Amino acid sequence: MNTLLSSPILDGLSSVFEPSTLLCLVIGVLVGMLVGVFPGVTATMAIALASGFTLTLGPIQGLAVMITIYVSAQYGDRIPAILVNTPGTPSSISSTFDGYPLAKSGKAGIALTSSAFGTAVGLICGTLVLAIGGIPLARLAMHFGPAEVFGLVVFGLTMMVGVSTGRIWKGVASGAFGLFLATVGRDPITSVSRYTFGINELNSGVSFIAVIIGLFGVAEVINQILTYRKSTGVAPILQLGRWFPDKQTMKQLVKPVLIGSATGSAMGLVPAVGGDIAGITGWENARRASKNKKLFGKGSIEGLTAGDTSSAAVLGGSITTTMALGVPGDSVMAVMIGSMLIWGIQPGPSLFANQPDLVWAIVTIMALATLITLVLNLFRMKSMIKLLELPKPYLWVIILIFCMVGTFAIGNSVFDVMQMLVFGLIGTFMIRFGFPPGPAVLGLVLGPLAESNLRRAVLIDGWASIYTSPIAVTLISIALLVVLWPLLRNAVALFPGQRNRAATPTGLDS
Amino acid sequence: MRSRHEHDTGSRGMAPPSSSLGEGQAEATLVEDLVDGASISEAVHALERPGNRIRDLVPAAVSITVGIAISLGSLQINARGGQSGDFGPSFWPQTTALICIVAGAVVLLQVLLLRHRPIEYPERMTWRGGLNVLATIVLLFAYAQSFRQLPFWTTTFVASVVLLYLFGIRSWKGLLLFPAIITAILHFLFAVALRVPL
Repeated sequence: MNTLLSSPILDGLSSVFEPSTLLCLVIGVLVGMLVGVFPGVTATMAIALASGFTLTLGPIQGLAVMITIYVSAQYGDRIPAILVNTPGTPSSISSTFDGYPLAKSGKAGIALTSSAFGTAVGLICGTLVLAIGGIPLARLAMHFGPAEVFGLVVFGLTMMVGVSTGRIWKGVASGAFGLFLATVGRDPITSVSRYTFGINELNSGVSFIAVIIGLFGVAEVINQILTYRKSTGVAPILQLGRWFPDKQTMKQLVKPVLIGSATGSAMGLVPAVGGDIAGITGWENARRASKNKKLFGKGSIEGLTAGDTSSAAVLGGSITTTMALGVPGDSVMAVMIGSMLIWGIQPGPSLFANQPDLVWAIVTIMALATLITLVLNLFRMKSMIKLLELPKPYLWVIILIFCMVGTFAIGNSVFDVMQMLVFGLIGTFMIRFGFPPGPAVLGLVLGPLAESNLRRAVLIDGWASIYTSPIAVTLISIALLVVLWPLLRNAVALFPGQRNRAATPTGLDS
Repeated sequence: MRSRHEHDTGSRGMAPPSSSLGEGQAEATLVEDLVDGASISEAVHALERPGNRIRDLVPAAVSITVGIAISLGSLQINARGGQSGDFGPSFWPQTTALICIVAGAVVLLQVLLLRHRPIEYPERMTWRGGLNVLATIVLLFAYAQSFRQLPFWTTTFVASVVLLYLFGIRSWKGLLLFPAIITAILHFLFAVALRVPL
């Protein structure tokens, strides 16, 4: 009872219910829906772009825009997944399994609304994870010293590398590149210039916004231009059929929604597990528990709902670990952390102690965004569907121009725009040759934290401060295992007699 | 896996595992891949094309080269303030350089030694696409240089028109109305709403 009446909650709530924040919320919802609808435009890209635009806003307003984009993209991306068999973002991969078959059988409307309901429940569960689990997690992390923080950073980096695309060692290289980028500028301890090449603008380091907009915005568009073929593409299904599910269908959805919520909420607390893995795992768990297993993959409303609920529930866990530990769980949170640092907000255990009202503001933003987007989906989704017919060139021009103007607007600096274009080319190379850009951004964000904590720990107590800390040793050991395990497995496969054993289908450990 | 958020190129929807493999095998494969952290969609729908050994070596070469470049650059860093030695300003860059080199070496070994893995490549680029990208980059660099030299909204409108024409748009609505709308929205967003001078 005391918790309900305590002032951080009320302060957080009241900061969100200001007109300017509510307006930012609505803008974020609309942008997020659009982002989700267009395949090839990801939430990370949109939030990277929004980072540039929101720097002039206050922290609450800026977070309102970015978090609502993240939340509402979870709804919008189901639309192309169901109607065009193309996931709007990777979180909706599982939506294509049953969503498109349902749409082909004339049940697109029911598929879209069931998906929206499941997504809403998943997001609410995720919000509860943040509200309930954030404080205990932050209290645990308050006891971390420099060695433990270093271990946590290594763990966070390698978790993202370890589950990113299966190309672990390319991910390691990408992460190391990001860590290197973070060293450009002045050394945090001695102020010595590093890798500035005499360029004054680089004394304060590379522009974080320019890097993320280049890597996620420009690079993605360039790659699409490179591979564009007019003849490809599936025509969207526009005959929606019945819109709302009947009572019997709604009863059928209870079990998969519960399974999806539990799956996604648990997986969200593990750094680097994204909506795509959670969605597919939720789908699989629902299939195992279902009496209609054979329908899964052929138009099962249970499969669709379980996957969508699970992929949405991950958000709360991801935001929880980011806010409580200060280690971003995915690229989106890495981008958000970067923006928060620019606003002077330091995510981590001290955030809950020093700015609890901010945490409650984020909880409120997530809850409001979920409800507003649900209502929008249920009553205005049909008009969003028409956007699927917009030719890609228009989308490219919108993104490129916004990238250019948004980056320039940060500091009225042409140098920042040039950086963005350079990183756009680097990002295109990374996409074409299989280097995941997520670890690079994570390295850029966490690099200063990792370097300063490691050097501090070692300068004070030597390397013993690392290997005598059980928490640091555990985290680093898990990190090494994640990275080395596929190598060891492949090494075993090289022995005669082991070659004919079924390797994993990808074997993609690089 | 979250990094796949970043380079989702609008890949076509995936059929579920059970529809492309035997059901038991699909289930086992899916669980194994989840445990191993491999991409589910890659596991199930690997686009197999004949391997291109030279192309496969490029990531390794680049990673090693970047690592060496970082390491050479760290030699230029002058230690001051009594922080010379093992943990001075060049310590962390050298560490990242080492990680790059090691990662590149591992990728190189895997390419040379693991011959039976399915190869996955991104969608092929087209010649037209390549030329369009070159022209786009040149145009964007010129557009950036024009920010301080010419009226902002004029250059934005012209850049939008040229880009749309480059990408194949020929209708008057596409070439005139659409850039006008973009320019107007940007003006409203920055000049009016955010009050950012451009």
